[in-house]
Amino acid sequence: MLKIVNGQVYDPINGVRGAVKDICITGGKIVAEEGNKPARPGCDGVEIIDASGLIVMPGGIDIHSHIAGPKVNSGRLLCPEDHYDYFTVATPWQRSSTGYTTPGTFLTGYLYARMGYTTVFEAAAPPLKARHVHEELQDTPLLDTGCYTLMGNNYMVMKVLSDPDGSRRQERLRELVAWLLGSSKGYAVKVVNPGGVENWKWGRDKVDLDTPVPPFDVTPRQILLGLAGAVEELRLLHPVHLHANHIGQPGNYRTTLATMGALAGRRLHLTHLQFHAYEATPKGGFRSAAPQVAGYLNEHPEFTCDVGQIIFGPATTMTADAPLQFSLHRLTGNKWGNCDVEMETGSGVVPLVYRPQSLPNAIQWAIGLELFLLVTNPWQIFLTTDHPNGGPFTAYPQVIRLLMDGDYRRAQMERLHPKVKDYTLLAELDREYTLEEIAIITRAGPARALGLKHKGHLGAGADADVAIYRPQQDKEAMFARPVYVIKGGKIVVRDGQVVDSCYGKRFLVSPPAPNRLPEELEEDFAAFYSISLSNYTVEDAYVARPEVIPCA
Amino acid sequence: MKASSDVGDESVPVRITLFLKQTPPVPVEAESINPESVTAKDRREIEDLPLWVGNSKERVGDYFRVEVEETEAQQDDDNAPLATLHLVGDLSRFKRLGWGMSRGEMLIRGSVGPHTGAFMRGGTLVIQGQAGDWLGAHMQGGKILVQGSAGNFAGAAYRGYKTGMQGGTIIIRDDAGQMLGARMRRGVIAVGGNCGDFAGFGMAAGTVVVRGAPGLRAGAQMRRGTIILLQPGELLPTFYYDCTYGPLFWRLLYNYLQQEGFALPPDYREMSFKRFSGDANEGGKGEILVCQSLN
Repeated sequence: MLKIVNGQVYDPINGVRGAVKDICITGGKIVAEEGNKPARPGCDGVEIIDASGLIVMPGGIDIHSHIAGPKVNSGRLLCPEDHYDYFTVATPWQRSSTGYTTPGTFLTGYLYARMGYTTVFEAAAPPLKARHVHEELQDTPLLDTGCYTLMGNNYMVMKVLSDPDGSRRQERLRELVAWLLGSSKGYAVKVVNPGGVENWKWGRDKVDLDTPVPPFDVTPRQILLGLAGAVEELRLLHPVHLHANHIGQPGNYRTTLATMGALAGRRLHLTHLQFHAYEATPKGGFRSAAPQVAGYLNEHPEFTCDVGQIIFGPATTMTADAPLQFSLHRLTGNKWGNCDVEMETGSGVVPLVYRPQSLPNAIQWAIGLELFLLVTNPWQIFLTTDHPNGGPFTAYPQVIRLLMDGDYRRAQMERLHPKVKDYTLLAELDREYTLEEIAIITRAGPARALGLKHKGHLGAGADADVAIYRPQQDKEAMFARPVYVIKGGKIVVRDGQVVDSCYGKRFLVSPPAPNRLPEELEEDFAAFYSISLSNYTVEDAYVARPEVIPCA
Repeated sequence: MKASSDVGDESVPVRITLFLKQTPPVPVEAESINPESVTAKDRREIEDLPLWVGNSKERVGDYFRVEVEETEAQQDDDNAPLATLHLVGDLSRFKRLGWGMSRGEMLIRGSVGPHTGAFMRGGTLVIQGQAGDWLGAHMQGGKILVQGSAGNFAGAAYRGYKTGMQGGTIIIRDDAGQMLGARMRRGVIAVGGNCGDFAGFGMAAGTVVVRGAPGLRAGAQMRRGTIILLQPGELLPTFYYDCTYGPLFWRLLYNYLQQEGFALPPDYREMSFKRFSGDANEGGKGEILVCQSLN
């Protein structure tokens, strides 16, 4: 047994707001405290961590991060310069690894754990490439993981959606979604620029919600509503995880609001919302539309979002939104990697650097923080940098400081392009996050949005993932170097250094539907895919430690 | 001049000489050896400087015999005394010598391994032997003089970076390898002998001079900058002929090269050139000047 005593506990799911209490851990789970019996060090096999004066939180959960799979590997290959100066040296508990914005699998695990994070979800896995995603997740230490399966530009999804018979359409879509999730061993449905990638592959321009997309002339609205319906019918734990249309374009907040309007009353997770909250200016630039977007979210508690805060410095943008990456390549002149994932999606990689003196970058930075501060319910908004698109996840402590320390935030604003105040409201916002709110946006909220009942809290039955921090005035320093991190009941980080190693679980779902490709699509599969159906499914051997979460 | 084994006072100018005692069995990471790191250190401290030999951390003293001598006043640009560093022996297994040096003088009597003078910002590095690959990669200032040949990628950008050499001068008395000055943005590289393929690949600015035979595809993907070929060579079809002329700047460059130790016959000063613009695939703002005649 491991007992953490006298810590100041922040456990929002269980309503604990800084109370001093003990946490007992046995067999990798948190258990109820054993009456009033005082635990003594060295007795009865009880290991004691004296957390007097320390802050105890559940392990962090990253709901959206690109850490594994072919596009991350493409980023690593495309950017050797990202690896020269950032590395970890082998120790008895960690292997050598390199990378800053696209760290190797080992370093990814170590860096997350060293911040107190214990669960991370890979945000985009095309079914055709899912095997590679799982191989890399398998290789990432100290983290429980899962991945979202890309479906927003899938040929078969669009073919099913073109069926004029409504009931047959929805039934087949449900079966197809279940089969795609099962064959890719995904946890949730990810939709990236619905229809927009396919449209671009046909040599056409950007799509609005009602633009017919070849070859079946289905619209992004049909794709979204169809997939949202299938997710509900399959009772998946996480709603559609949406990267909306028109990312990064001035005026795109109207599309974002229209998308939310189309799904009002239903669950939806909007990812990297910062990139979708731009109002066009008459000269073709953009200003913050965070107040409009946050206002809508405040009236619709059924929606959740993560921010995708940008961090000044190098980033490697990588997304299934291939047209966006082509635009970024043309805009910046930076190198570009592109991949057409046959039948399923596109993808692209472009490295870039966010600079405080660049007005567009400064506005983006401010919009992210505005969303954090204007969305009133912290259970609806989660901390991400859309790693590595907005910047590396290692900057989370810096973002936490920006949210908790108004003076620091204002001082940072002084570094920015002087005109940023004309385009954003950030300078007028005085809100400062509390420790409880930080615990919600980094742990409890993502766990609840993902439907993980044994994560993100410290109640009996929860996984024993715990982060213990030393309170400091400098919140960045506090959250960058936990005193202890406990993963599955084992102390893996002490004073910010990895002291033990283990491999985590992979979260899967088991939707109530037959796990087979609808018969009428088998012919299409045989005709158009470059691999056979029997080689498509990710075998069980690629998921060594699965944990199937029952659908609600 | 007087010999001293324990000179530690920064105010006393010294010459430090490292004699190679034994050739290491594997390549050595030797970025700790440059004039700044040995200045104001006594013999024992210099011997204790670290060297990574394979995956084991060893000492400079394990491979070099160190001599420290006081010398006549040696002042660098900052008017602070700085040790003159001499290395003697075949150092072709030593990588990163003079890595990032910003001032002072380093003289190597022997050949050196890869990455010598990479990220150099100032000072002078003289190599009386052959240089390995990546000589002066990402160099920002100072001068490298090789009294022999250099390997591939001299003055180039490391893999992934958009910009290579950004300043300074590299003079290679004999031949240079492939990708000479690849992606360079500023500075001068002069090669006295032949050079390999793709000289000035992807240049954004700067000047490359090749006296001997150029390799294939010189200037491929260059956006701007100047390549001067003192012997005609085959050019890519994406370079198009502009004119034949005698540019004034060549005389200035000629004088500069002479002054920096790159010997050219006097009649080269009045040379005329055929000017080709390219690479047309990248906007065609670069130029290759091919020696036309001696006036």
